[in-house]
Amino acid sequence: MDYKIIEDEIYQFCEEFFYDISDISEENDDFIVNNKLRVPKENYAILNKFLQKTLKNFKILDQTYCTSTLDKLGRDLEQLCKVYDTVLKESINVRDIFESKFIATSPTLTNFAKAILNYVELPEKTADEILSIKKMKKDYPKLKEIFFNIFEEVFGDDKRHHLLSLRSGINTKSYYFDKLLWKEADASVTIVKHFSIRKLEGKLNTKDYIVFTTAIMRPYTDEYRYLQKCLKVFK
Amino acid sequence: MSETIEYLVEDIEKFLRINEEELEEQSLSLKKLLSVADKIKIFKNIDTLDLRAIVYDVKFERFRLKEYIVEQGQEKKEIYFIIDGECQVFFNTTRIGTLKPGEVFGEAGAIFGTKRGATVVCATPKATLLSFKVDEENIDFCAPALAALYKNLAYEINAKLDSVNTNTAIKK
Repeated sequence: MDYKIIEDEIYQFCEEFFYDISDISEENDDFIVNNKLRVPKENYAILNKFLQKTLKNFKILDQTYCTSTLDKLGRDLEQLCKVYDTVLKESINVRDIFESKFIATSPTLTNFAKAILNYVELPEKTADEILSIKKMKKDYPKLKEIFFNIFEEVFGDDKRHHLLSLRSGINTKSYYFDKLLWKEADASVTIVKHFSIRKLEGKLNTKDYIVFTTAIMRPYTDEYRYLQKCLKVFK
Repeated sequence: MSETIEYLVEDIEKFLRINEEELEEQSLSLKKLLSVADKIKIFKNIDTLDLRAIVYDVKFERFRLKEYIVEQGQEKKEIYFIIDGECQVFFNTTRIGTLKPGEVFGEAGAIFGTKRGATVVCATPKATLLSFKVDEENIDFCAPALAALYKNLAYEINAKLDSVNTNTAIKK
C-alpha cells in the first residue's frame, strides 16, 4: 500500500473540512499583519463574553454610545467565536468524522469496498474468487485502521493549527475591542456619570470594573469564576 | 458561512491610535522609571541608555487591599518594585513575610523562568508598584548591563535568603 496515496486523500479531505476556518483565519492573519495590529501575549480572547455584555449594557445606558468601528468589532468577534466554537464542536469525534464523512470521499477505501461487493455479487464464484472475497473482507478493516491512524494524526494537527490561528485573530481583535470599548465609554457623559455615582471615577477599564463587580457578587458562581479568569489577563 | 465585516480606513486609524497610545503610555512609564532608576537598588551601575534597552513592558500598577499581585504557581515574567504601600507574601496559605517600599519581588521567576514560588497580596489600602520585564533578546549588545542587572538581582535574592536564615535562627 502506497502511504503517499493515503496521505494525499486525507490531506485533501482535511483541506475541504477546514476550508471555512482556514479561509477566515488566513483573512484575519492578513488583516493583522497588513495593518500592523498588536498581537497581545495575554489571553484577551477570554474577555470577549464580558466585553459583549458590557457593550450591551453601555448601549442601554447611552443610546448614542458605540461607533460603527466598535459595532463592527463586536459583530466580527461574535462571528469569529461562533466559527471557533462550531469547528471545535464539529471536530471532537474524529472516529465519527472518519467513518461518516471521510470513507465516502476516499477513492481507495470506496474502490476497495466496491471490489468486494462486485465479487460478492458474482452469480457463480470460483474457489479462487471465494478465497479472494474472504481475504479482501479480512483486509478491509485492517486497511481502514491504517487509514484511521494516519487520519487521526493529520486531522488533529490541522485542527490544532486552524484553531490556534483563529484564536490568535480573536485575541488580537478582543484586545482592540477592550481598548475601544472603554475609550468610547470615557467619551460618553452618561457612562462617565454612571461610573462616578458608583465612585469609580477614572476607572473605566476592564480590570477595575471586574474588581468592582466581583466585590459585590456572590462568590463561587459560574459568573464569578469566569470574571476571576478574566482578571488574570491583567495580572 | 458568515457576514463579512469590512473595516474602513477610519476603523484602522482608530486601531493604530490605540497602538500609539499604548506606546506613549509605555514610553511615559519608561521615563518615570528612568527618573527614579537611581533609587532602585536593582538598577545600580546600569547606564540609562542600557536600561532602556533591557527592560520592557514597564507599568505603574495600583493595587487595592487584599488584591492579588502575583499568585503562587503562575508563570509570569514581571519583576515588581514597590513604590508605596506594603505587600504580604504567602506560601500556600502561610504568611511568610512582608514587603515594604523599595523592595523587589518576582526576580527569581524572571531570571530562572520558574513558576511563582509564593503569592503576593496587597496589604495596605493602596499600593503602587512598578512592574517590568527583562528583555534577554538584547543580550548581544547589552551583555554588561544585563550582567549588572542579574548581579543586583542576585544580591536581592541573597539578602532575602539571609533574612530567612536569620529569622529561622531566631526562632530556634
